[in-house]
Amino acid sequence: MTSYIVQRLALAALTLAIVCLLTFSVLRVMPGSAAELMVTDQGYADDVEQLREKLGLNDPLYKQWWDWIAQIGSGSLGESLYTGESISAELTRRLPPTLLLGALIIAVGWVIGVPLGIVAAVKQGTVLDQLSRTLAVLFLAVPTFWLATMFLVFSSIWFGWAPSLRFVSLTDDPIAHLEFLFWPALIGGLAASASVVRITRTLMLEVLRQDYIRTAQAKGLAPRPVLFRHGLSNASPPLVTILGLQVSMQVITGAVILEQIFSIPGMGRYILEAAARRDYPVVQAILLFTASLILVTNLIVDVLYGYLDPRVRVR
Amino acid sequence: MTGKVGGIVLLIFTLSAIFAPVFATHDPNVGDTLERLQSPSTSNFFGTDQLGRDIYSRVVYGGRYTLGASLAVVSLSAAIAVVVAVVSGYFGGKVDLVIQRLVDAWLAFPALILLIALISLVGPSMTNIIIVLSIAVAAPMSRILRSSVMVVREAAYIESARVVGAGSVRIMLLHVFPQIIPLVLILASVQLGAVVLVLAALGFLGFGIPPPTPEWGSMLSGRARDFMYSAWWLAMFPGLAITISVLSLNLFFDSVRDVIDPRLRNTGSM
Repeated sequence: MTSYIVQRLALAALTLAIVCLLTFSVLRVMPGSAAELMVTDQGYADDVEQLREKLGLNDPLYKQWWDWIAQIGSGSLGESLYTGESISAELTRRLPPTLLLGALIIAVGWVIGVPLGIVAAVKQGTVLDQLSRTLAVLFLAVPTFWLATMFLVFSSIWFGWAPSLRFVSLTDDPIAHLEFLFWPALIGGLAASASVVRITRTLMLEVLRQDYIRTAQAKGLAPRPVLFRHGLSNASPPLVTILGLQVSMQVITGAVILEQIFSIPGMGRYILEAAARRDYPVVQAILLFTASLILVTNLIVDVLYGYLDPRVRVR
Repeated sequence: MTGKVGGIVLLIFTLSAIFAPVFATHDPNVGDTLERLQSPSTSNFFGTDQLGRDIYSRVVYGGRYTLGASLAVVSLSAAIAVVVAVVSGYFGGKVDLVIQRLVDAWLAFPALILLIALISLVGPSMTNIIIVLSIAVAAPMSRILRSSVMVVREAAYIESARVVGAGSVRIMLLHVFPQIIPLVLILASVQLGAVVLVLAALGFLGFGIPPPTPEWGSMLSGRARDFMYSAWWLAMFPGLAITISVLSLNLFFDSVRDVIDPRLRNTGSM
């Protein structure tokens, strides 16, 4: 197990180094037109030359790279061109609502998706199976931003009601904060549940076809232990991996869209604002940050898999 | 059954996109200010928007951009994925190690955030969006293709080709590539629905094909949002077009894939 973890850790560190290199190159391969717009549209400097000086692009490349690594190492992500303030401080402010929304989306997606997927697999070919698969196929095709828009429009037309779009922070009023996140989390979770249903059903079917399930049934074990002890426990390692990876991606994507629609001042809004203002140091920082977040999630999922499924760590 | 329905709906969407001038009843970009925010009627099937433009015609023309661009993205990404996968899988060893670590790093970025960042750098033109999106779609596709290439590489006929003195390029082009063509076609077509969704999401967030070009995603954002609460048709029809086209793409190509290669079930959708 230890050598397995060490190996995963080394791989993640290597990937992280490449991620740093790729984000580092964002400003360096920036087309001249973008730099010009940063001067003419946004007024970040008097001319392109001054802008390059300000961003440190005139230093030798090895020095730029060293500065970038040193900056990351010190936990700072530089300053925003637009506000002139520290990016890491702003990220710290923006992160909690995004993480909470993400956790809620995952929770809703799993609570709806996993049981439906299991039922669909166990009752394969029945009306229940058809129904849950149809719902999954439908929700995979509905864009989250449309679902949220329709929800807002029709709740207002039919019931004359709209969820409050005035953000309340967690520290000010935890209850109001959760109420605020309720609808975006529900909509995001519904959208996420579609792929959860699909994956759960496929993996369960795979397991239920195995010989040991037939053996368990043949020796007269009740359906419930067969399903949970033999079925679910064998389906769970790949389930955790796939859902862990897919969901973490979906959550970030969903957060960008839902934060925009429900006016949540989170990380998703931050990158939209920064990209629109061509505040590239911020864009760069968020790219690095989200990629690291995904890498850490992957690492945890990998280690968890090795723990759940001993076959993996022997290789 | 569902595959057939999907295919028929897809055909209708494709025809209406190709023959948009025939299907459309109005000019999609010219509004009549006297006809602002009209509800759906026999003259404006889907109503009109805040500038008096006919929404039905905009949805019809929007299909051109959304579906056309998605097709371009899928084709280009398949080409990129094939090159990466064949080179990486065929040579193996150090080449594979380097390429795969790059793919690893690329996959670590959440797709939408990466796309927003890159499009803001290179500018939101049709060509730029297609190229950027293709690279994003190609990364996961190349992973699956690579493992298939690694299986093909071990085949006896590859060994024989090498023995008779065929060069690496020749083997990759004439012996490895043809073997993975069916897989490439399946993987690419199964992605179409997901690509339409990403394109629309980019349009919605303001990083897609810029207005006034009718694009389904961007029709749901910007100024239109201020009027949706009194004019529900502004919100309804572009979204419905996205949902139905993605649904029909998924249903059709999923059933095609199941017929061609049932083992590949659930390899689709990003």
